[in-house]
Amino acid sequence: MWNKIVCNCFLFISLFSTEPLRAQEQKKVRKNSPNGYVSEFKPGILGNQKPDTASFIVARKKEIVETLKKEIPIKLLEITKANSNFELVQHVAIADSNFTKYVFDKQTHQKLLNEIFGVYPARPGDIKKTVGHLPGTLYRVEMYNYAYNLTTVGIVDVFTQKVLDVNHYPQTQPDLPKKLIDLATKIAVNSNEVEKALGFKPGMDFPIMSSTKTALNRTKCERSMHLCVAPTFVQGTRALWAIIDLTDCRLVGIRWTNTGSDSVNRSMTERKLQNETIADCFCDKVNRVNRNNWQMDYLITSSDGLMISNVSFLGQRILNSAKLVDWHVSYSGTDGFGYSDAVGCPIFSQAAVVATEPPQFFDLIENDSSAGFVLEQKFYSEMWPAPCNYSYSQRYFFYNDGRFRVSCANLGRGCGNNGTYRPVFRIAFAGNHQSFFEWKESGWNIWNKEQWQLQNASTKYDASGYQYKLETSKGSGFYIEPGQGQFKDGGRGDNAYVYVTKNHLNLDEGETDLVTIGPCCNTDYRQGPEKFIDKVPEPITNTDLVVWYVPQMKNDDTPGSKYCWADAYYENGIYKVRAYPCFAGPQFIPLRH
Amino acid sequence: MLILFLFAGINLFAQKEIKPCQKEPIFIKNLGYDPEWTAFSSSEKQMMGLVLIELVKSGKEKTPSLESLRGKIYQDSSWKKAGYLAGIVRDADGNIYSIPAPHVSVLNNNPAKQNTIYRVDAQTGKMNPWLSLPNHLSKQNTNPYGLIGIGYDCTSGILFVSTIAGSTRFEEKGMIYSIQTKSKKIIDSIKGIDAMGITVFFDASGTKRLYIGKTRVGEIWSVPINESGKFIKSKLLQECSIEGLGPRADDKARKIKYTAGALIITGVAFNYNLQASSEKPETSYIFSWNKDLKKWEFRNLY
Repeated sequence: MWNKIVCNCFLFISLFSTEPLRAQEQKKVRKNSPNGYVSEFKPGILGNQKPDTASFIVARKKEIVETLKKEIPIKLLEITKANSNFELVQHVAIADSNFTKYVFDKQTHQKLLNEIFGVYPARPGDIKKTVGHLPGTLYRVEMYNYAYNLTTVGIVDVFTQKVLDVNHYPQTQPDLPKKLIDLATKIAVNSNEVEKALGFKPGMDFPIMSSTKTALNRTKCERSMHLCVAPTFVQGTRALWAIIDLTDCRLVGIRWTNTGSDSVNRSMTERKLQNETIADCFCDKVNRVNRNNWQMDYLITSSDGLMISNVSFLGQRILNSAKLVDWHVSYSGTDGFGYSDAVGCPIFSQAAVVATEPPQFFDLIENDSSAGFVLEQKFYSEMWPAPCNYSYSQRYFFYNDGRFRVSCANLGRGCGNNGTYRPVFRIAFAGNHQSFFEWKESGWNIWNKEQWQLQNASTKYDASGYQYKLETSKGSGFYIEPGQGQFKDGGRGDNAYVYVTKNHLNLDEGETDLVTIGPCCNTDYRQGPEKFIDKVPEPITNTDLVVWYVPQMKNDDTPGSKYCWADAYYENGIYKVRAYPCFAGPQFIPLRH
Repeated sequence: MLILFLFAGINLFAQKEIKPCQKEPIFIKNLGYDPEWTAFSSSEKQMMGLVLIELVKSGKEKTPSLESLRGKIYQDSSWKKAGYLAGIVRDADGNIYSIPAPHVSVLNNNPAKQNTIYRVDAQTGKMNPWLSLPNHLSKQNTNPYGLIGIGYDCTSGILFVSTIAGSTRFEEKGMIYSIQTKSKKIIDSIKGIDAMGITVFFDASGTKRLYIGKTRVGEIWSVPINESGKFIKSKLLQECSIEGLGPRADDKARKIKYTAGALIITGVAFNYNLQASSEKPETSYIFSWNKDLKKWEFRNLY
């Protein structure tokens, strides 16, 4: 049985920068992120990641660069006291076209990162009966391809200097050479997370099972498809697993397990570590943040994304809750084809796209000074960015002046380039005397009854770009500013449906986790919230309200204007992911701003 | 062929598989299709529920295969009423039994209705709820599944189903039922096991056993079944495990099949959520029986 972890120790190493999140457009357009998995390239989103300057990381990166400069991009194995055949075997292998079949990208011919992991005398099982050879002349050469997560095994005859047999094994990793075991151990023992969890900085000889690698030894980076190992630190009856990604040279995360007999046969993998930790720390537990005069609870829900609740600013309660109920994805090419995706917890949930990393906080910078903070949660399909897999982001912006914004994005890639994404936000303000207004040429006009409205080309905004106003009491409340491409996050406008419904506090009308409320493919107002508008719409003045906000984002895979999209790209011998998010969502501005 | 090659000489046929007995439903012929050249599916990407797929006779093949070209797709209006479906089995009379399982969302598969077995009548071709099993949903409302495993024993006419309704992260509340199809009577049940893949075959000593793929760990267990269809629970035992194996290392057994001397476990990732990658990777794990050690040995995967 896995031991429950302590949630206040840091759990995952984020793939994202911890640099300030900039709300104002940056002058410098960000180049491709050095990170894999997710990277956003749009200007004004995230700053560049600080490079890891640890000497062993720098040395490893230098090795990779040198390998990719070679005509055949294969790093050879180096060991001391090697016998005379050791180098010859490798050279014979890499001269064979079948052995090197996958060392270049087939289409672009770019060099992929490859490394010989082992050279061994061939085992009886390696040799086909029909193959004639002299005793002791056959060797087994194992090579790992980091880009394809593929192992190539060649049988080399040093006498004839020929490769007799080659096999390629996708999604397989060979036994690690000592040098990589040492690298993994160095990354683990030098990580703050391991030190914090153990209570001291461990030495290089402390971890056991450093050579534990994926498959047979119960460590797998099945999400990133990277080469991973797990140096493990035993302390009493517990073991601290530190999963190290040797493709990206980083710590994936840590987790304590029991060392009892019942845990022996249970594998600890990247996915398990992430799932269990997210569930323990953010799904089964409500967290609270108190920052920049804002206080709130936050929780990853089963199917309503990251929910914030009990939100107050300067001690005054603002929101009961805000959350992301559904993502409706429809494809115009095929009638009725699409999905209703719920986002949420990775296990025991009704989510189709799940949280694999913890919520993150960023500083929010305007005009080079701190303007507040951002709370972000991302969700992934297992095989994203492969076609028909999805990734989503939720971002809550909290400003020092009392403004806040609720936003979300799709990060591709979906099932086609004709998709429209319709996320469904549910936002419940605090206060029992709310009224809702719409800007018209004549000024602010109150909505007397439950209704919906579409933001479109004829929509009127006031001089500040506000479309609606929600009063929570006389003179207090918020203007509502929908996205029109002004938020510097790449968003191109919300084209949103807005619904206002009465919040019956004695009924559960979505306060707790909502099941999927709408189908994938309705292209009109029927996105689910209309179900909460009675046949005879109820009065909604001076009462408790729920605002539902459903923006619409059309994806685009056109080079130069990709939107709601993701691509794999080549960098340093491996493939990484670049996302083109389509952010949408309204900003709320205090009436007394 | 591959399997036969792998296990030649290892102790073939230590166990005994149960040969299929299923008949083609009469309604297929009544609809104008050749029963032999049709196939049922519950996993069409853009069609919810059960469908009948006509296979095209190309003239090159005597019998249909997985590679056969697809022709018309037929769906009776009643075949969508259960929402998305999981497994399908047929009995010796041609009746079709299926269980609902949500796909991507619960929009068409209300969690409260996921413990009902549906049957398509062999004569009429109409699908109706056949048997509703107790559904103790958790208050946490986090696990969207009910029934997820179904198997049919041709030697006894007993239907086996497994459900994980009400199971939570910290409470394994799954149930496995044996149900006599003729009388629609629940014969027996096992409490407290969450299982997906289930199948029946005879073990090396000739005892009929239900093989069970657990959903919390990649373990395959088995329990003997007596002549009346009751489980001999005291003899529940672990057979083998796919834990740590394969490209993902955390697969759970979605299907279990014993054929030609090999135990074939089809493994998928399963985390009690609605994640459904369009090309959800599956891996088949092959085990053979070591008669000397009396245990399953992992041989290969593909």
